[in-house]
Amino acid sequence: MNRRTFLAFALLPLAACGSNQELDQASQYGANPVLPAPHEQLIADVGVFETTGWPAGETPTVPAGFRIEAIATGLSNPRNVLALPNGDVLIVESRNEGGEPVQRPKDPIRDWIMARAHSQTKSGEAPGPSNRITLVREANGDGRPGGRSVLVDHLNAPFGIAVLGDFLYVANTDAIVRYPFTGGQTRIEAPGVKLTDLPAGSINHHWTKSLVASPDGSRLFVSVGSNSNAMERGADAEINRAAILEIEPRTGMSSLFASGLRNPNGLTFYPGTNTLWAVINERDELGPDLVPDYMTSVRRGGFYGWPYSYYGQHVDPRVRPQRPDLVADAISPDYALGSHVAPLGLAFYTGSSFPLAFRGGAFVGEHGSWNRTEPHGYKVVFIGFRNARPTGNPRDFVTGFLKDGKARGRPVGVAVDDRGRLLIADDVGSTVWRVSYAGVGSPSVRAS
Amino acid sequence: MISTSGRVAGASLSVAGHSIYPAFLPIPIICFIGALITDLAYIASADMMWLDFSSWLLLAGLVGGGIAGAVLIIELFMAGRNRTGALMTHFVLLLAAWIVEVFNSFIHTRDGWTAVVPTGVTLSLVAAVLALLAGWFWQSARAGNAGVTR
Repeated sequence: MNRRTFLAFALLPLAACGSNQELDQASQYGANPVLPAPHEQLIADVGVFETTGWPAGETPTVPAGFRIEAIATGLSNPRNVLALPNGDVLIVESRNEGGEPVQRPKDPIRDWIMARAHSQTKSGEAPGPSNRITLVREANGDGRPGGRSVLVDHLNAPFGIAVLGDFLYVANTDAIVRYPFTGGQTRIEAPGVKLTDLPAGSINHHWTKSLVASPDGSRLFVSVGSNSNAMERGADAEINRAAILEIEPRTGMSSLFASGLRNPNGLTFYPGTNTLWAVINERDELGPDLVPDYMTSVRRGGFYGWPYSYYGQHVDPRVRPQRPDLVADAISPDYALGSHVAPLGLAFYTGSSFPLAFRGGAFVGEHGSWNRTEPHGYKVVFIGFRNARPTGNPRDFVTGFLKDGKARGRPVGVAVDDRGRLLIADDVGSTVWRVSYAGVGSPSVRAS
Repeated sequence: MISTSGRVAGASLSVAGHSIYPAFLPIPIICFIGALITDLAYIASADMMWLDFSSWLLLAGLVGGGIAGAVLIIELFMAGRNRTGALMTHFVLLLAAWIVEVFNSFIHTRDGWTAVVPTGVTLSLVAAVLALLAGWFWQSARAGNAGVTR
């Protein structure tokens, strides 16, 4: 019996008296998560962890048969990663400068708590240069990372990147910028050309803009997170936010593709289909077990509830005026990932070097919770797919980011490279990790 | 220069001959009543601006009331046996209003309607009444003291 289990038994008589029954995590996975009644505490649950980075020689943990190694360390807030067909890896280092305007007395308190959980360096050390794309190239094709160069510099809080035709598209927090780019290039000298503005502004609460090109290359899709938790900044701050926008890559014409998605990230088309998928961070401060974050296919013109409702027609009691007309059409998402896990990265397994069970499944980078005392997330999970639909519970794939109450790293964007290896951007750990299958032993992933 | 004066029975902390307490006492009374009004405005309009006003008014009232309360506690100690019943009633009412508004401030951190309805506005009403009563008994205490010193 581990210590936590022992503690749970020791406190059982006390727990029975409280109203805060611990919900079985597994009941909040999949198509029909258990949704308890909203429970707004006097003081919102907060569980953030001091960030330490990785001690020398230590790595996250992978299942038996797999191997994990760093392909780049000492990065400055690496948030996203893109693998190119020639084996080069693009790493998006990103930092959103400038705080949000203070609207209420709670804002500076919340900002201070959040800053602690994101800090990359010990106090006193100045953070390194960020807001750039770093390219990592294998030296001799022997699997060892070799050269490293800054591909593009002086970006504005970039997150999503996509290569389409002879261009590299970068989703800065305030605009999509296009650079001429061909595979093999290690430095882009040409200036970027702005394709279209994206919603940013002085608040810019959820600032990461995820980006993907449609399989036929005719469209770009960009995600824009909400400017608030549950519209407490007012409706005017949410124009074209909590949404996925569709953009014509030649003209920059943009239109609303789907809405009501509080903070969508990890835009990815399911391999071999024209179905767009995303992972969504749902709302906070309704209790430790609300609202489950989710992974979903996204329908054109679909409305997914935010801010008025969650999981279809579950009305958020905080939002006024209410909109029963919109809630009536709110779509229930495909697959719950658990409450407050903070999914920020999604990659389908398109490679062939991992065992058969992984083909077509989803890897999700879970940045980890703040709005519950018992942490959720802080790992990369795997969800199997059958007939292009998720099946079964998420299984732990890469773990060990939290240890002894300290955060050594926090996973964000994930990608599959040209050899079918999994890449993970770890912002707090300042590292990009690569997981490969060693091809020995019987591979297994633990149920979480 | 902070000194004590014997203008009223007991003593009051004063700066350059002017009592400190009457300068701070109106802050919690006005702010707590103001928060009730802006809560009602939020209920009527669902405009988040009014909830923001309420949150700041509660904070200002707690800070001003905290200073006033600290001064009053010192004065009550200094007055010793000379403290009047009315002044003690005033103190207890003001303290009760302050404690209610501490809880109310946490309720008001919620992101929307439930920050005010039903608990927030109820606490705002209770605290506003307590603060007004505290002001009422402050006048009684002053009148009583004036009678004694006259």
